[in-house]
Formats: sequence, structure tokens, C-alpha cells
Amino acid sequence: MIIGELSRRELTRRCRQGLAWRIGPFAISVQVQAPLIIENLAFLYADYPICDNAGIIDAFVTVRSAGLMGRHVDIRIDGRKMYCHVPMEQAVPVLEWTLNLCVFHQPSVFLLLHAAAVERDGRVAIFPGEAGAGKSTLCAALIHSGWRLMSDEVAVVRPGDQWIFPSPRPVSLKEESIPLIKGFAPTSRLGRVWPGTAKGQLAHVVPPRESIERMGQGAAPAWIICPNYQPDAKTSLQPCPKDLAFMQCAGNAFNYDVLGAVGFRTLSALVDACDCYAFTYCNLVDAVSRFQELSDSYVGEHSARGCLG
Amino acid sequence: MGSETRYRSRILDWRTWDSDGHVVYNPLSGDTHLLIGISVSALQELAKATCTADELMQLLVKAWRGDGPPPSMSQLNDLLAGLDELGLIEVAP
Repeated sequence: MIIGELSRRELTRRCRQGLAWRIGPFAISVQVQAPLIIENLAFLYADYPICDNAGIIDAFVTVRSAGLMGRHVDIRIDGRKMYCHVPMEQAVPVLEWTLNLCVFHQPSVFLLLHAAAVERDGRVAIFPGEAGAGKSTLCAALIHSGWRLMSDEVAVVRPGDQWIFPSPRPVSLKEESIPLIKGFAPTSRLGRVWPGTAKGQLAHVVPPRESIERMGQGAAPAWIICPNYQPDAKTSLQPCPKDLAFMQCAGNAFNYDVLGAVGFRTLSALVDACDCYAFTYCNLVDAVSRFQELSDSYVGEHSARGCLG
Repeated sequence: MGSETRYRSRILDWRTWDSDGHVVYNPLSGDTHLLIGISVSALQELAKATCTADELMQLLVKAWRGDGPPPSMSQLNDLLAGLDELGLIEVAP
């Protein structure tokens, strides 16, 4: 059953007790009473499968009223206060950040990279990078151009075979990226715009249904691409030395150090398996077109080598 | 360190691709390093056999292919001090 199939009354009841849903290999419970937050959860996560098994929940998030007037909330993960006295008009984006933390800080046998990831024809492109590099904007454009969303924030890499597992969540857009994606993909399901957050204006794009329906399907990595949005820049895809791509990923991994030698060997094998690039763009149409060429040439090249089928 | 001090590389995990840089993981410290140039050559020699600084200099000069002159003894001693501080080499018993 998916969240969107719940009646409003049932949704409210479940949210008060703790509504849990799956996000790829993770399951998170959110307990909340505020109607504004419930309404936005219903919009952003309508297509997500409900998880009724409390035994496999990875994190329990609670959103409680702070103060007497109901205009602020405190947000906790597993009882630990993460955000205090959050104004209600910022509670939805802050809750999204909280759900990020639930995933980032999971003890995990997987290598968790701070990266967006999209898949096409069974091959995954990974975009590691700092905040503001343009990976979410690029990700949002690609998932409305035939690519499947694996994740906007965390690439989940399995040691041993470096298979990438999806954990697709609403894609977070900031400031000028919001009208950019609205213009590029007018049919995209964009949530409400939240002004005045710590990162400026924020909005969330609901992933296409297929991305959520296929969240149990991993895929092989093919490209590591470090994006860089530059206003007025010409679209440019340049090979990146693998040693630099490795360090970029290691510096943007949540648990690389914790995994020790396993982390090193997994990331090494991931870099071995991928073509690595630095990607500069400012025009989304050109950017998507360049990615299509990349995907087509990969499939063509590997068909010629007899690597497929 | 005295001139008779012998150094050796710690047991490290290396990854090398077609680029100039080499990524090295130290399982003792858990640190990962990106090394280029003379650091790589020195560490590779110290992984094969223990060396004094003088012996290492001779090996590096013999194999030198870089632009410009090979490092001076002073530069090599600084390099060894740096690699030691990073935990990538140790004094051999």
C-alpha cells in the first residue's frame, strides 16, 4: 500500500502514531500532528510504500510542538533533538533535512557517498559534489528526461560489486533552480516554495513514479561526473583523472572513514568501473543532450565489445 | 635522524590509474593520501627494501625522469620527515 491510498483521516491517524515508509534500503518513521506538515508529506511521499513492520525501521523521527502557540516545532531522531524551535513555515524543508540525516548517519555496510545518482539503460551516473555545485538541478532535469532517480543526496554503493542502490527522495531545489526546473519540465510535480530557510528559497520536486516503483532495483555504475553549474558557461564534459575523482568521492562520503579498508577498496573499484568527468553547464537542454550522447555512446561501445546480452 | 637511520614503508594499500597521482590507504591510521611525483617514487623504493637517506637518494637519482634537477639531500630529508609524520614510513629496526 502507498501513502497516497490512505484517506486523509487515516493518514492523520497514522502520522500521530508514527507513519513509516520505505526509501530504498531504508525505512523511516515520522510522528507528527501539525496539519501543514502532514499535508506536505502526503504530497511529497504519496507514491511511497508504507512500512508496517516496526522491527525494520532505521530511524524514528518525531515532530513536536515547541511553545504554546503551535508556531514552532522541535524535531528529533530516535529521541535526540536535532532541530529546536523551528518556525512552522520552515518545518517542511527542515524535516526533509532531518530525513537526510537519518540516512547519512546510518551505520551501514554500504559505502554512502554524498552524491546524486541517476540511471539509464542499466547504467548509473554518480554526481559527487559540495552543496551549490548544481548536482540537484542537473538531477531534476535528467529525471524528467528519461533517466531514473536513484538519489538526490546519497549514492548507496555495495562493497564487492559496487552495485548502486536507489534511495529516491524528493529532489531539493534552491533559489534560481526552482524557476529553471519549472521552465524545463512544466509537468514536474513541484511542491510549495518555502522562503527564508537557511539555504534561501527551497522547493521539492516529487520523483517520477517509476523511480519510486523501481526503488528495489539496483544498477551498475558507469560514470562519475563532477558537476559545476556556471552562469553563461558553455556546456563542457572533460575527462577527469581518476585519482582526483577518487579524492572527490572520498571527500564527499559519509562513512568512508568508518568503513576503513573496505571503504577504500570499494571506492577504488567504483572508480575503476567508471569513466570520470568534470562537467560544466548552464543550459539544461544542452546538459541533458550531452548526457544522452554519453549514454548512447556507452551502450553502443559496449554492444560492440560484446559486453551486453 | 642520523645518516645511518634506515627507513621502510609501512604496509599500504595503493591504487594507481593512468594519471600522475597515486592514492594510498594506510590501514594503521585509516587515512587516505593522494601522492604525486617524488613522494611516490620514494615510497615505492622504501616498499621494496629498507634504505638510508643516502641510499634512497642514489636510487631516486638513478631513476630520475622528471623535468628539472633531482631533489637535493635537504629536500629528500624534508620529504622523509613528512612521510614519517603522515605515518607512511617508519624507522626500520
